[in-house]
Amino acid sequence: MFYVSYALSELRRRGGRTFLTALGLAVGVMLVVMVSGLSTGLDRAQATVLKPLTGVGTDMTVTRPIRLSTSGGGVFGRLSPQERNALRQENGGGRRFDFRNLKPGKHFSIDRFVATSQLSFPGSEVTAVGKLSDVALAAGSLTLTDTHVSGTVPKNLPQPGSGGFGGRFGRRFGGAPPGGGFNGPRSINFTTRTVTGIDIAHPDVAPITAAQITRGHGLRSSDGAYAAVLSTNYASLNGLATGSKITVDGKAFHVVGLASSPLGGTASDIYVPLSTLQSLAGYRGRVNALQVRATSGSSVSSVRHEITSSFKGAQVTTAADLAKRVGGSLSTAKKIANTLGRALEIVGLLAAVLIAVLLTLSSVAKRTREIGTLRAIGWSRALVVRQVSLEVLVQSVLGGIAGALLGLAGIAVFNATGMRLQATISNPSTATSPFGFGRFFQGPGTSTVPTTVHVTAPADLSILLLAVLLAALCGLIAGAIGGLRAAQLRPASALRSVE
Amino acid sequence: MQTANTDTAHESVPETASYDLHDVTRRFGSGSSSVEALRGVTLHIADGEFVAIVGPSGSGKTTLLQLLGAMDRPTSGSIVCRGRDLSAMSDGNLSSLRLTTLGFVFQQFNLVPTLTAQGNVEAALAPAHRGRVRAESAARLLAMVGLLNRRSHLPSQLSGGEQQRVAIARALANDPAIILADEPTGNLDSTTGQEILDELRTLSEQRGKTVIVVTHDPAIASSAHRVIRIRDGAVEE
Ligand SMILES: Nc1ncnc2c1ncn2[C@@H]1O[C@H](COP(=O)(O)OP(=O)(O)OP(=O)(O)O)[C@@H](O)[C@H]1O
Ligand SMILES: [Mg+2]
Repeated sequence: MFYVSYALSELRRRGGRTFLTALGLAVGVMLVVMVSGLSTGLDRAQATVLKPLTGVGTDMTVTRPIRLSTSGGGVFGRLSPQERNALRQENGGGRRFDFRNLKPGKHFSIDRFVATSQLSFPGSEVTAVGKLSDVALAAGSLTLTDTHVSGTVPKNLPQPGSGGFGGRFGRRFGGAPPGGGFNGPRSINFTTRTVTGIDIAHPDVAPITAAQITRGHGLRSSDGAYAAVLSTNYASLNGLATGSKITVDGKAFHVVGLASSPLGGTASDIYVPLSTLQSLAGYRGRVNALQVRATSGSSVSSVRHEITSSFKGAQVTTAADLAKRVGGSLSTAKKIANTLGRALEIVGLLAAVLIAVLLTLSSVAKRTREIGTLRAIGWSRALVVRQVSLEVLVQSVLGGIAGALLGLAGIAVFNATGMRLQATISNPSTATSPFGFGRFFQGPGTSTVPTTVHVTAPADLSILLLAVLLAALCGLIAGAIGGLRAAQLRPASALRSVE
Repeated sequence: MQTANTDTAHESVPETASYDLHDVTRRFGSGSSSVEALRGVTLHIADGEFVAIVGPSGSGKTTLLQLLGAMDRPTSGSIVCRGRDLSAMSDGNLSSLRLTTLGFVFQQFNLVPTLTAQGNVEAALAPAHRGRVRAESAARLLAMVGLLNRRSHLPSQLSGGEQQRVAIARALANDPAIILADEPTGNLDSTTGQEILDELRTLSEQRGKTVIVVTHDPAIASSAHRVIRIRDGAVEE
């Protein structure tokens, strides 16, 4: 107790010095608390963005993106003739909206399914991948864009027959938003929505998992072929709920559940059983994404290698890949936090330690006689080092507490501003579809619509503890340096030095 | 002038000799600028002696007192304090010798300015005593020098004589056999100086302590049992 009260009285006497030392450490610690809080907040925000992409239990997603490479004979260069044919067929080589039989004034409702940036592949690939070693589970899914056109054929069309309307429609279709080109926008209702077919047999690796279901339940075989899960966004936009009916390609689907709209990427509006979508859309036996779960986290890269070497044109996307592709202000903020923030932390702490060391050394120099006297009356070197360190430690811990509180206040202010950052997951194959639809259709995983995340920096007791420990560490460094300097003072200086 | 005993001689009677110095020199600096503050000092000081060291300024009195106080090491020669050869002792052992066997009184009092009278005495007790024992000992020592009512005063709130009495209480904290004082009355008026001198004489005469005082004060010199005169670093008793 004597040593502590001695240290405290010494600090009180040299109040200005004590304040400066503590302030230096407070600023350093405040920087650490704020930067690490912010960077944890950004990490969490990123995890929030990525979670629906990576899914629960899905380690990687296999797709076959359209590659506009000049090598290898173009888009279909490496594929078998049958595959090329199948792909050409499904991507609308000859298909058109068939309006030929429409009479003016007649109501119509047409659905047209296309996969654009992802090429489909036969379901046999799913089985093949499932048999690879280190693969625990593999399930296919099919995501298509459903263009739904309904309305009443305008009465004053010049030439309703012989493909005239269809041709004109087709041209508009890829260009400007529809509606304006027709007589009376009320007559044609034009919507696009994404529909994903899910392998009900493997709900664990499906693009939508139980965790995302907010109302009702996920797709089950007992619901039958015409059950659907809607994204909450789509449901609210269209006034739908569980129990509602939704019509896709003329078939009524029973809405059994709602799924929270996944952030960032593979968001679909409607989820239906895979086989139902395959038969409706004419994609029998084909899928365009494959969700794979590896037997363990460590085997992810070997599984990736096996898949890419055995499956032509496959692109394997792992959770880590997705993390790398997060763009937008969120990733910018993360970069800043990781570089500038870290630099600021280090510079701040070093400056704080330097200030503490210099002030301690100068205070030791001013106390030559006092320290010499202590040595003369029997204090050992170790005791002197301990005493000086104790003094610096007390200042540092005070500074650390102040800094932690300032940092927490800073975090609170930051959180109160309710900062929102945007994240985009860029798709590596952002190429325009070669089939002429342009950017109008976006395939699965091609989210160019940024996801907005609310960034909150966590402020918990562990940060406070860490900050105080950090300050104490800085104090111990400065205290040890100052104390060792003090221990060098000869006891004889008690008799010699003039104060 | 006493002749130095051989090493074997004082080992047989270790407790009777406070000090045995043999041919002690202390040189400061090196080369042409070096100063030989002490040259060949040989000295015997018995237990319980009250010794005054006198001499002109710069003659080496403080240098000698530092060597006796185990605060400094001689350039050559040997110093034996109560049977222990100081030149053979580690810094840590010298510290504990200073703590337990030696007590210091300084011309400038050298109290720790941030500590109260009580705290200053406790500073000397702290390395060896804890808690309640320490506080009680400090109070008893302050009572002995008549300053119990000033125990919670800071040095800046005490007169010079009072400060020096606190310093004496501190020097006595661990009941040392030897008290070393460098011009203890140098900063005091003659009346107060006399009081301090009386304190020191009491320590020697009533408590059997060896008291060695460096002084310019003829009053102290005349009341000492023995006067050691130093001139140009050499003893001329
Ligand atoms: N640390 C040192 N470095 C160099 N020279 C020193 C040192 N200490 C003492 N001296 C020199 O040694 C000599 C003796 O000094 P010392 O302090 O012992 O004299 P003193 O007799 O105590 O004098 P005073 O009566 O003025 O206090 C002086 O010439 C002094 O300059
Ligand atoms: Mg002197």
